[in-house]
Amino acid sequence: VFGSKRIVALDAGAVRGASASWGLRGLRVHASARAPLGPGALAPSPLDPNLARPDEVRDALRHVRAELGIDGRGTVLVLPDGVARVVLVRPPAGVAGPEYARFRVLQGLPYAADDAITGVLPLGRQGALLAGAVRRSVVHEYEEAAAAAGFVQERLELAPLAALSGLLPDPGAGRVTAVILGDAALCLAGFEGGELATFRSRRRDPGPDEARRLREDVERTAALAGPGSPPRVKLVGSGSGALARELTQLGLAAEPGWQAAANGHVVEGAEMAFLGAARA
Amino acid sequence: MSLPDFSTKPRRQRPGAADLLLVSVAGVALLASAAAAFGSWSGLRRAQAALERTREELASARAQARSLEPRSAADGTLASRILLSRDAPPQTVMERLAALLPPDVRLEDARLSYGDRLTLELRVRARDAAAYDLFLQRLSASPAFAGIVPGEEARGRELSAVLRLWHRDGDRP
Repeated sequence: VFGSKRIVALDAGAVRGASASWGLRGLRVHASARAPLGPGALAPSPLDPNLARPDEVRDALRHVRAELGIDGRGTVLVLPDGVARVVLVRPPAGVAGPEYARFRVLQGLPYAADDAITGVLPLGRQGALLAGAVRRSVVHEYEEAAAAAGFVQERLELAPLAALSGLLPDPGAGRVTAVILGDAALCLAGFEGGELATFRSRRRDPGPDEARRLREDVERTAALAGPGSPPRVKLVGSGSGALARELTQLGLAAEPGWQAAANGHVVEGAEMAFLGAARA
Repeated sequence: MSLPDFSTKPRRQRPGAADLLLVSVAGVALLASAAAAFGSWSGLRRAQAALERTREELASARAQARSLEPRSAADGTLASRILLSRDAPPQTVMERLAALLPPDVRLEDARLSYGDRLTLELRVRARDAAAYDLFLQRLSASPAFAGIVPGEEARGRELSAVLRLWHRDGDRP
């Protein structure tokens, strides 16, 4: 399909893939696939080896490739929440933003700066940048697994940045908090008038009280951006549909981050946070 | 928005739809330009061929004109000679000259050349300059002769002179 992207995302619970495009009529998913992973097969971490059982991950990748019916070429590989350090940087006036953001994200890494691959995502009109750093050896693990499964990687992106590409609110949207749910970690991005004001990451703690804890996190994130009305909440990632319903019951205006138009098959687009990469 | 690539070995970015569209437009423009250039080149070649043909025709016409020019000049001269010898035979011309000679001027030599016109070269001897001047006046006044150019004069006891003139066309009185 002209303009569609083949995206494969790995996370602790599953390997997911989709062929999707993002046009004037919004997100369209042409094909999607999911291969679950056993507990502990993949553990997103910025330091330790992530693939505890590489064979199982490779099999899941092969299954996704076969189900998508693709030859694997030109694939965008998306790494999960929890492998990278992502920080919001507001460069001072008169300095080169991307260089300054790289300098900031490398500070305090638990490994040598030379071992890090960095990237910068410009956001909004006020010069805010999201800078990411991920350890080269960790990236290499994922790349090897994908290549062994027949994927020819075109790019490699981080799940929080990919998701944010699809969640940027309009300037007139008011106060919005975007929640990006990974299997092992989550990110919260607070927007004020379409501008990214705060960005936080933390390990995910799924359980019966997750919705309540998430509500508190959303409120704290909004408070960091300044006083104001409760934010509207947009959720993407695994379990986003159920959590949106629970947050609504808890009094927040919560909804899935995006709806997907599927070609002939049922798909819950917001469950796949990585689909934001189709918009970039 | 362009997401950063965290690959260990980043590849060249695959062109997007806008890039492909721009490349397609550029390709179409290139083809159109090439077609226009080819058309112009063909037109130039045709124009050059036409110019070459015209040059050849002009050269041929010039050569033909050159080949015809002497012949027509020669033909013209020949015709003129025929006409002049018919209209102004030597005897008639000499009679006209004799009629103009004053008593003190005699004609010693006369050369008649029939060409495009009848040219005369005369050698005369006059008793004095006044007689020679009278002869010149009569020649100038005569409708039968024109183009009188007095030549070398030798003034001694008598005056000897050479003059050139030509006889007018047609049968003059």
